[in-house]
Amino acid sequence: MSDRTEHPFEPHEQPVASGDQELLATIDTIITGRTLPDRAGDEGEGAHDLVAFAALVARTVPLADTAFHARLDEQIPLRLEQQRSEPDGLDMSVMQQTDTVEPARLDLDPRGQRRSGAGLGRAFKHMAVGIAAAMLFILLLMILIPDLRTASAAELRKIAVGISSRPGGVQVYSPPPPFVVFQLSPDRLPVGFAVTWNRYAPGSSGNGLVMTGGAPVRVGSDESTIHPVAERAAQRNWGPDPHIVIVYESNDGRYLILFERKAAPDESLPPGEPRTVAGNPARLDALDQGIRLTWVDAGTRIEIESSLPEQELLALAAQVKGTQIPGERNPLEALFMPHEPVFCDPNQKPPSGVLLGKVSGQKNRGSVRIEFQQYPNRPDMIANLSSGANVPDIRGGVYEPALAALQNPAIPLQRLPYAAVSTFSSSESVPCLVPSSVVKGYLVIEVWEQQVNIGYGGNGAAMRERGIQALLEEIKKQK
Amino acid sequence: MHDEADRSEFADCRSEPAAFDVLYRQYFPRLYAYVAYRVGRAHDAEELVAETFLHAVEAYPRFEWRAQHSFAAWLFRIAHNLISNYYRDRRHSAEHVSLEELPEIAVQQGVPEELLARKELFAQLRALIATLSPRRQEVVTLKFFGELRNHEIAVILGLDERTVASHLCRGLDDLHRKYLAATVPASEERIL
Repeated sequence: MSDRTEHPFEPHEQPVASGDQELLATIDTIITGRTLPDRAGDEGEGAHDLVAFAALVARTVPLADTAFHARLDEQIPLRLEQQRSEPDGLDMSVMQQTDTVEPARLDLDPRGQRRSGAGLGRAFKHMAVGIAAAMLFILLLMILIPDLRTASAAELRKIAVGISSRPGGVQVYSPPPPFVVFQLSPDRLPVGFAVTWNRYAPGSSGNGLVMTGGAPVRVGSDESTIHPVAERAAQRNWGPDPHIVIVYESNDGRYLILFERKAAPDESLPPGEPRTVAGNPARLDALDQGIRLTWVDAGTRIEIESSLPEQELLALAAQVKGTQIPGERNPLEALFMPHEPVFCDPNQKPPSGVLLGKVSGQKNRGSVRIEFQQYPNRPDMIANLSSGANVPDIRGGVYEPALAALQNPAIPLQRLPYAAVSTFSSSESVPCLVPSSVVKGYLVIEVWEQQVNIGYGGNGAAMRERGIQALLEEIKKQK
Repeated sequence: MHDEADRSEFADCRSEPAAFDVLYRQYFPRLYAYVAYRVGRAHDAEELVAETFLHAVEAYPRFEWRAQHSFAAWLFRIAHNLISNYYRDRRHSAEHVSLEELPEIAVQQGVPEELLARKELFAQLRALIATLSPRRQEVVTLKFFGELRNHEIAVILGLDERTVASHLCRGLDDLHRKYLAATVPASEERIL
């Protein structure tokens, strides 16, 4: 190595000495493989040899925090969608100048938020487990259906429904984007309640995109569903207006259905006994198997239907509030929105984008995913179907082509590496997400304009016939 | 380091923004490692990495592929400019960064002692790199952590490719000398 004199910054310094060519090649080898070339000997702590030292440097690689990485993973597609809908992007001067860069900021940083208030930090910590569990439904509604992810975010900007908690309470749902659905925190719900089904529908003002998740489908006459309220909800007509439905059930048969939509300017309440929810007039009416509370808050019509006692329902309702007020962002959103689901093993997170590969020159019509679940105390295998479409007719545009493909043995199944694609779980002791142990296999059907791809995981390949039955059941509901 | 693959992905980005995801995932670890070396504090690195990708998302429709400008060079140029602004605007150059604020370092076996040792090594290497000339700091970090080719670094820094190679060799050698001086007992010192 000749001439070790320090050089200043002129753009045309003297060229590299010929003897250094070998070192340059070795550096490339080291960096490519992050390994030590044979001739370098032991890397060791001392790294006496220059090549060994280069290897030591190359292997001292900072790693991004996984939570940050996960949040950015979620933000980038949303930004891409925003960028597509707002064509006047940043000028390329950022490539040429260092003086004028004032980038917009991604709202990603939970630590910054924690710094803004110890109380918020404690609140977040207290709810972290609940949030992690709730993030499952982000997966169900967005990551689960990656092709619809960006489209749905755009649709969400057009609608005006949504509820979240009052400050200090617990949120349920808080659009606009990023599209986030939160499960009620366990300390606000009776013990044992969990989300079993949800539905987001932009309605007639949208492009027909409807996303549902979590509804178990009965397969065969000898099987029953473990979530009967969810199944009933899945078959119910929720009307043409943009709306959101979340169903909570407990294993002992109690339930709660949350329905919300934008209130009409002259919205009237249904007949019933007058009540008050957080200062708003409300109506309570009796149903066959429960009661229903209806009120309007901040332009959102909210209905809660439940088997819970009235006082319990009123207490829960008091925590819920409409929030979709342009320009008045709920401060709690800033706390909750940036937090994305954290997978214990990032490799177990299904990636964004289609799972089975894009089809060149074709648009994706939608996806169907069927997970086969086996619960410990039940002999039946549950077929859990979730789907999404970016065509107006989900039955004709997605379900029927998916069914035809499943019924066609000539279409091969591609093996996927994930243990689960829809159902993940967390617990107090394991606050990150892991594939649910009840998932025994799954099928993924991705429908393109002129092609359908099918993938599977676990024992999903052996469940093709069950998948056909599940799809037939779903198509029957759509008729 | 795959121009043609990048070009293909980038072409897809024009018609299908989701394709940007592929490039994002490919470059995220490298960009983060580079930025982390340049700024030290994990929190600041996260902000700058996020801003870099945001800029890239916003600017990619206007990006024109040229033979000498790979996507990598374009992306790291954005990061390079943001880091320059970071130091200029916030005057962070003299700040001390505690071990707790540094990012984690990749280790083969994640035992606490190894993690701590690697973090300390990272802090030491950062401190030594900071003693190099600004140009060599850039070249060394872009090479070792951004994993860029010399001609890509040349594009970013506005240098001749051979000059980049020269900076790299001399910068690494200088860094090695300083490392040995700081870590090897005098009795074991070698004549270089």
